[in-house]
Amino acid sequence: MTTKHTLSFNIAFLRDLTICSVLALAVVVPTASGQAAPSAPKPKKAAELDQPGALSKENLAKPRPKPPFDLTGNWMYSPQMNRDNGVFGYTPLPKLKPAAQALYDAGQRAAKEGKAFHNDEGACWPAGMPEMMTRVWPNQTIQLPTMIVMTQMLKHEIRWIYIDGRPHADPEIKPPSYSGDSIGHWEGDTLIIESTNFEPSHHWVQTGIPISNQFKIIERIKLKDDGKTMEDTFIMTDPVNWDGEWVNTKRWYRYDNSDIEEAYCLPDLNTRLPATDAASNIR
Amino acid sequence: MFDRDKEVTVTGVIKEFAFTNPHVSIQIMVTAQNGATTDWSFEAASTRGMVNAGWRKSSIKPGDTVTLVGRPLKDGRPGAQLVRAILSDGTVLASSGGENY
Repeated sequence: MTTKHTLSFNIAFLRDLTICSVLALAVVVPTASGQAAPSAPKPKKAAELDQPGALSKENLAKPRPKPPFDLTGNWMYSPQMNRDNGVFGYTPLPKLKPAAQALYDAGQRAAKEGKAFHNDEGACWPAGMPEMMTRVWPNQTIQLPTMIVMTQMLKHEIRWIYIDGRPHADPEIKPPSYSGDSIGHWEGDTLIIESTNFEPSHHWVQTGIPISNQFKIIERIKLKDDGKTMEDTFIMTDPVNWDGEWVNTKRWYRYDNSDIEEAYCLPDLNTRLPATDAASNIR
Repeated sequence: MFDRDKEVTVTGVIKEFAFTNPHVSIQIMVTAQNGATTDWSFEAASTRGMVNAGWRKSSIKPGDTVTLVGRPLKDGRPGAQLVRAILSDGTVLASSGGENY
């Protein structure tokens, strides 16, 4: 004898069986063309995705020669130590391309009038490389066997210099950045750094001189004065904006008796600062 | 932006003392002899730079009468980069303690 519950169960069973059958038929039945639908190909895993992180235990523990020096510390950019190289600029300038020359000239005119020119950094855009290195706030630097991390106090702009032997990251995988993609190696007593894949939007080397996506920097860093002075020679190229190499050597002094602090660039703070409010910035 | 060859001195009433990074800033209302008031903006060093020179968060506050000395803006607007402050009790505070920030 069939009870009410048995009848409900049978109806539900038949319903589920029907659904399963339909699904089974959907898997087995070929397409209208008569061939089975191909499954999507698996993406090829890029070698770069296998790159161990700079903080992975294996990468940190890998045997490496002792580096010739340790940059760990706070480095203060000193205008007094850089009067021969343009201080916050990079003089002498290279031969600028016409468009860059026009921008540079406009910046010089603005400065004579006491105005800023495309002061994007003052408007809270990142300064990026190389300018983030030459702010008047300290650069906190931590050197590990696999990377050197530099944090500029202003806006906490940060750059990572990978010294674990990796190549440059594929731009198909790693987006452009204001600090660039930096890899380094040692040659004798010198740290050589190559930086590429820069973000050019609102990014200037100095007032009026922009960068393009072809901008590259090679740096040669040495420690001098018994480790109290860091000297960095920048070799900058950008065939869109200037001819040849733009070379400049900058110096910092060690400043380890203090720590850096939080220093955001806040739009409402800028309205209180006479040098960075919008009224003084020519765009 | 600031004329490093000149100094301007103003005395007025503090409207705001923003003890913050990257620049401490001071807004001060200055009253001219004819009664007209002008708001001046002073840009100072970082908090660390100011602290090294003896400043504290409570060194000045809105309502205080203070004299500020600074390098004026080149474009003539009422603003300057702080060189030193002279408080109502005569205390002189430099803008920074010797470092550049």
